[in-house]
Amino acid sequence: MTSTNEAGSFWMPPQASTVAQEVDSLFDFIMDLNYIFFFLILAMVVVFVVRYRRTQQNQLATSDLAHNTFLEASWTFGPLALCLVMFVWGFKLFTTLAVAPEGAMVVNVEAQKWRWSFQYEDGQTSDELYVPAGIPVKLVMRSKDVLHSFFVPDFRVKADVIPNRYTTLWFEAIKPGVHTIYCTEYCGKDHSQMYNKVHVLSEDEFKKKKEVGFDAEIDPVTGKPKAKDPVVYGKELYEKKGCKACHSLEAGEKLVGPSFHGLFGRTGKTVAGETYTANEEYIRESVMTPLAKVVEGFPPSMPAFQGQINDEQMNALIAFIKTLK
Amino acid sequence: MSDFLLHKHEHEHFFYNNQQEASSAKLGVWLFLVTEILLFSGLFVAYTVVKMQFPEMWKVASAVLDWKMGSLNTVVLITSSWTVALAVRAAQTNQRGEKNKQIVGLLAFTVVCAFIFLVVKYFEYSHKIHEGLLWGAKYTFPAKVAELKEQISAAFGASIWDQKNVLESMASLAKSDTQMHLLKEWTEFGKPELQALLNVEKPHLFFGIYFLITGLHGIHVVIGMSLLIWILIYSRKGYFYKDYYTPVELGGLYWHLVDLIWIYLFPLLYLV
Amino acid sequence: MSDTQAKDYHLHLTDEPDYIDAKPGIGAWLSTVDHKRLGIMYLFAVFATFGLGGLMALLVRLELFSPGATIMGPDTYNRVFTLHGLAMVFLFIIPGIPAALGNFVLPLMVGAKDVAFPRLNRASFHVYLVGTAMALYTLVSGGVDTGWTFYTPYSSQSDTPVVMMTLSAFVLGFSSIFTGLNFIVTIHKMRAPGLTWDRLPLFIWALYATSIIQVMATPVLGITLLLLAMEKVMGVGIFDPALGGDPVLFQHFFWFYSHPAVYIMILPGMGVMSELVTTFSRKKIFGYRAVAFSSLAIAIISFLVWGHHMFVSGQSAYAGMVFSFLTFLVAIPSAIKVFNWATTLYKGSIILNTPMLWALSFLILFTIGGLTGLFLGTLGVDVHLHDTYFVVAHFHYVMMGGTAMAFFGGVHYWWPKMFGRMYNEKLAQLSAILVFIGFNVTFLPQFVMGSRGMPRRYYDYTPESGYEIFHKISTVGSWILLAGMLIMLFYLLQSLRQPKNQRLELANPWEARSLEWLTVSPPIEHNFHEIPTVVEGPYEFPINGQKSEH
Repeated sequence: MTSTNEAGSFWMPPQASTVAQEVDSLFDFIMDLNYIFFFLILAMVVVFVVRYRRTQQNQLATSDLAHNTFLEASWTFGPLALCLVMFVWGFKLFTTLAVAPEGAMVVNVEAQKWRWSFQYEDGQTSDELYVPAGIPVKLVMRSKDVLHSFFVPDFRVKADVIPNRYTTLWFEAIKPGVHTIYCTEYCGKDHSQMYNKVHVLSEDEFKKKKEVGFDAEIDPVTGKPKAKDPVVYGKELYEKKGCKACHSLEAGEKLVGPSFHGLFGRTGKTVAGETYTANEEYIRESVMTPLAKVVEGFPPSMPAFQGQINDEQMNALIAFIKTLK
Repeated sequence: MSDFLLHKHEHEHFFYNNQQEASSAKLGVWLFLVTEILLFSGLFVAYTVVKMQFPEMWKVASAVLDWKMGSLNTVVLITSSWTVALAVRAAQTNQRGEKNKQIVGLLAFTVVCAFIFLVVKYFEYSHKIHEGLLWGAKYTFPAKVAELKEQISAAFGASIWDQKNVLESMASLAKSDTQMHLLKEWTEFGKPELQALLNVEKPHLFFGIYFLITGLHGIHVVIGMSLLIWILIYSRKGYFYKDYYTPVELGGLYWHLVDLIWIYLFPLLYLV
Repeated sequence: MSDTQAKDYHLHLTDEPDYIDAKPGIGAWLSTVDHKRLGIMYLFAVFATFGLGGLMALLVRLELFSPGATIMGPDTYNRVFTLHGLAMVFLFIIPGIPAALGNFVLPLMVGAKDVAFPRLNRASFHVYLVGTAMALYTLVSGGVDTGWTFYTPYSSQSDTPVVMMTLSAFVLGFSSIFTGLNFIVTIHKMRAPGLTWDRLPLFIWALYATSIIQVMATPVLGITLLLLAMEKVMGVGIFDPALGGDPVLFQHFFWFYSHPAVYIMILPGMGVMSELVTTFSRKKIFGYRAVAFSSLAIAIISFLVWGHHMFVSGQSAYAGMVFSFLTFLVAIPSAIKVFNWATTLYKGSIILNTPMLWALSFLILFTIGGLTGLFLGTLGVDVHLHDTYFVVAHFHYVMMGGTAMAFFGGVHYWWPKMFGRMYNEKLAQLSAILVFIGFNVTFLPQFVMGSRGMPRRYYDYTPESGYEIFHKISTVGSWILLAGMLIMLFYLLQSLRQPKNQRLELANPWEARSLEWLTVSPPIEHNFHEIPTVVEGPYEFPINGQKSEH
């Protein structure tokens, strides 16, 4: 009855990983059982209610049937057998999902409120996930703060991401495409904004992207990395790196941290009582080691971006902040 | 007609007779005891999980507990369980109120035992508080040791730490009040079991669980004491006799549970 | 109990006032130990908390009507959905049927004059009020935003009033334990002469199984919440990884209670089902023993399956396997019940009045809820469906399509007994039909959204995601539900404003066979003048060929 194919079905999104088809087969089987038993019960109810409705002629029951060994045994052991089938099939599928093949490409994933970041085997980092098609990829994941969960519906994979140890999941994407990543363990205010994308590239494309740098944009004409306008790039980073969650662009609007409006050149006091001036050096220090000079009246909540923002990105951010007057 | 106090019991109107009422009460209390056991079992699970994660730390931290005080408390509680059982027996065989005094006496002894238990606990707790061996952020033992060491260096000279037996040297040199006081403190803080704590990770987890389990148990000791005192007051007035001794029996049952929980708790925390 | 015997004593009119008129005054009601008065007060309380939880639900659905902010920001939304869960779970469903209907009906049904410990019963109600007040206090002190499951470390780090809320749930737990304890002792010790275990109405069997779970599981929740509160207040560190703790340990502790808790929620509903299906088809239950023992089986197995909430939490695959297997086992007794209820209808004489409409709703909706649970118990498929709207739809089908429908069915069934009045039948049927339709319109689309990937506890979704149409349909469904519930509120209150009917008139309007129907409506304060002696089972309806007497 139900049969999901690559493009998905009424119930399922497209099948974009090798395991998706297996998951969908089992899903379809269970759905078929659902339909069968639901309509069976519905039929019983409707037929009996109509056939034995109370009328002048049918004021009392016409049977006091209370047992039927055959029926009772059937509807005990029949469902039990079907349950065992679902259990065994489900468990086997689960072991497939849980155990990554040997030699899978490893990507480290870090979750925090409220963004993902990815680190590849060669040490590069990126804000969105890039993977090659046709090769198994294993994600090794850890959270920096609370529970999160990494979910790609098109791949049918999911695993919670926890703060005190690593969790893993693996997939093999079938062909190039872009798929949504959701955080699916409630983590606070912007839980639903932790969208991300997994870009599946052909092996060649992936190699090229890796050489150039995952976060770099390629000029389609020259084939070389586009020079980014620093202010535009800075604004992009403001959003992608998550600064947006805590620093407003409105004058005087206090979120978790101070507003960026009019930040550049501002002077004030830190929690330790020292005076600071928000020049290039100060901004760089606050991004890399934020707890060094926390502004008075604000909590020491900002995560450190050391190792996550390179020089080019730092300059872009500073350029962007300078424009906020 | 006896000259003892005896208050005849009348069962509630929705019961048929005294027996039905008594057996219902008993079933009710047993069910309640089950809930108490499940409540504590959660703590024992937490104990097990943390101990399995940090076995080294657990061994070192539990060596800090004074097993002598713990044993004393165990003896005290077991004795109190015995006396309360005797009180139940007395009530059960109390024909005309002639055993009222006996019941009161036995219950009073039980309450006194409970009180002794709490006093011993008080001393244990105050030691820990003094040594900074508490939970979470309140675990200030290392900081206290560091501060004490500084004070000792100031009072005795920094070379005291190079001596082979620091305590002996301090004892021979101590003259002023300050020095005597510091000597006393170091006798406590310098003990090898305590010093060993400085070398393990996260000992505050042990003390957190220690205070949670013994604290919750202590609250139950207080509840049990109050119950027994209440029953004691009524037994003075002759309320409990062979046809109605349910409160004594069930109060005793509760007290046995309090004892039983300690009997599990004591070896797990003190002797392991 | 033959009808001639019945006529002899219980319906014997005396001058004795009924339990409502006896001892009037608000002081008398608040200090009462009468199980019937306590049941009525619980009934009003849970209707109110259902309204609170329902209002939160309407707000959630309104926000999700379109992408982007619709009526509130994410911080408010997170508090609203948390309160929806907490109010519905702790203030409505768990006390629900046992405290409101069970308290009233159980002693009457077993032929007793009250429960075993009426003062404990009163304490249970007062403790419920205190716990509810504490929960409501968090509303005005900032609102909790952790979700009703309080997962650490978010909850141990949140600066919302988590401690007050967990302590409120701790207090409410006592209310639940007292009720369960009372019911177990009452059922064991206070049955009328001749009322052997195999003659007990199935509602009693269900309450018995529920009470066992209440007594055994609630203390574990108690210690869990205490540990969480201590974690926040004392910084103990067993759940917070920053202090060396394990957040997954919290999940184990939490679900060890909360899974059995969901059976506390459904078992009484199943009990009500057995009463409704038999009375309104005038037929004895098919498979009495199977239904009775399946309640006990569910109670016992329910303690062994908690890990199925944690398949993707990082727990070992081996643990997952064990939990998945046991989860399938617990499905079988529920399936047996559904088949038994449906078969009971065979060759009965079925009337589709309001309580029966609710019962049939339950049968259909609980079937869907139970069947969709199979997906979630299956390891490989749960990986995809966990924490999506599929789960949300599943549990609403069993908790609302199941328990809530049974609750409303029971309310309508026992209404004449409780108040000596009837409600407007036509309006009541309309309400039942609207609720059934509204419920399906609200929750069916959520299955589809969920399997297509829409995560739960989401404040927002993008227009490109394709979920918008499902959200819109679901929200419209919530309005249909609202209409049905408002109609119900209206006619129920209206019925209370009427004067009471003649006592005999509504003594047994449904011609049912259990003991509570052999008293006047409303019953006198002490239930029975003389405790009846039971000579047969509770579903011995006359069948065609035998003369029937009303």
